[in-house]
Amino acid sequence: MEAPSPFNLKQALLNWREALGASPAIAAQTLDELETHLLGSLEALRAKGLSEEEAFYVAARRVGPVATLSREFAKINALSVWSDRALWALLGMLFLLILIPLSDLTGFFAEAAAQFVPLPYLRAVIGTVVAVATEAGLAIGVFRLCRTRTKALGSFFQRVLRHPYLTGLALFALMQVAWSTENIVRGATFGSHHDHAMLTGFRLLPVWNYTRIFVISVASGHRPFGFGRFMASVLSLLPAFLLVGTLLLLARRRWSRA
Amino acid sequence: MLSKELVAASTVPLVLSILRQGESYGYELIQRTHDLSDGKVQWSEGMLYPVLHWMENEGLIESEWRADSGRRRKYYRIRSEGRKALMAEKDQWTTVNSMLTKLWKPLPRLT
Repeated sequence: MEAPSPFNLKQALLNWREALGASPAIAAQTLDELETHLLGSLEALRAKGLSEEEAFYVAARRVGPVATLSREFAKINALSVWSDRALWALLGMLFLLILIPLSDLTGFFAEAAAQFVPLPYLRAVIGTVVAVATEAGLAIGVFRLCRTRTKALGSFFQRVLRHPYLTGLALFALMQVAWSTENIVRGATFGSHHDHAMLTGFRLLPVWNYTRIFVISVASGHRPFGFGRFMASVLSLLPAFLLVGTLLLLARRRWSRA
Repeated sequence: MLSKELVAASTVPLVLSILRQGESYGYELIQRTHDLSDGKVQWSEGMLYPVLHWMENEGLIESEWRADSGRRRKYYRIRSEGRKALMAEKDQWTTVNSMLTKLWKPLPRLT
């Protein structure tokens, strides 16, 4: 009778898939194909008398190291590798766009708190330093979180990505609130023309902004305010929202292969 | 054992030649090559798949997922472009082969 082996084939296969699947060049279908191969190889080795564990490691070794495989697949799947990079870049940009007003806000508060400093430009310097420090601190915090809680974050993202458009909407609402708050504070602090913050608060990419300005000015008949202008401003958010939703759909296709 | 360069050069004609005899899947393709060469040609197994996918992208072969005796497998089939490519490969390999055969026919004396 064979002693129960502590080796868990299912778990070993899952780990193996996860390591290979980390490469953007290796699609889910390819993973399936390689796994079928591995299982065939494993069966043949078992028939030769190897234990399940030995057979698994020999079969996995024969399929080849992850680095070599992903390099070879990257050669033929250059497009998916680059779309993956673009996805990361865009996600980083989204993150930054939420970070900027947060850091600006803390900067304003620091400036306001430093009222006792007689020189106005020194106050501005204090505000800037605090703003940059906040941004760096938040970025490092997120980075550390990603490093230490990879698994938990992964399952969180997988849950979030089940609703890409809802997530897109939430992200935009967050961004809108962040930018608007910043603009209101800026307007209140410095008395500049930022009181119509809800209309101008949304600044994402220049292209979207110019589209918005164009749509708004056409729909409002170039009148400064009014219901038409407000509705146009709301409607003009739609393409941007769709774009982010699509981006998140792409992200879901990329990460929900487990 | 074949050199790395020769393995790389011969993979496509070998795959096409095996598939010309009928459809097959990755594991079986590797087994066939292994048996045909009496174990002298051993592909690093995973490396066959990027080649297969490249050949499919180029339109030389096509694939289909099918369940066979309980296991889902990706079967590859040769396409007419693949047959054409094989003819071209055959010409080239025959040329090289006949050259080398002619040169090697009177065994070189090793003195």
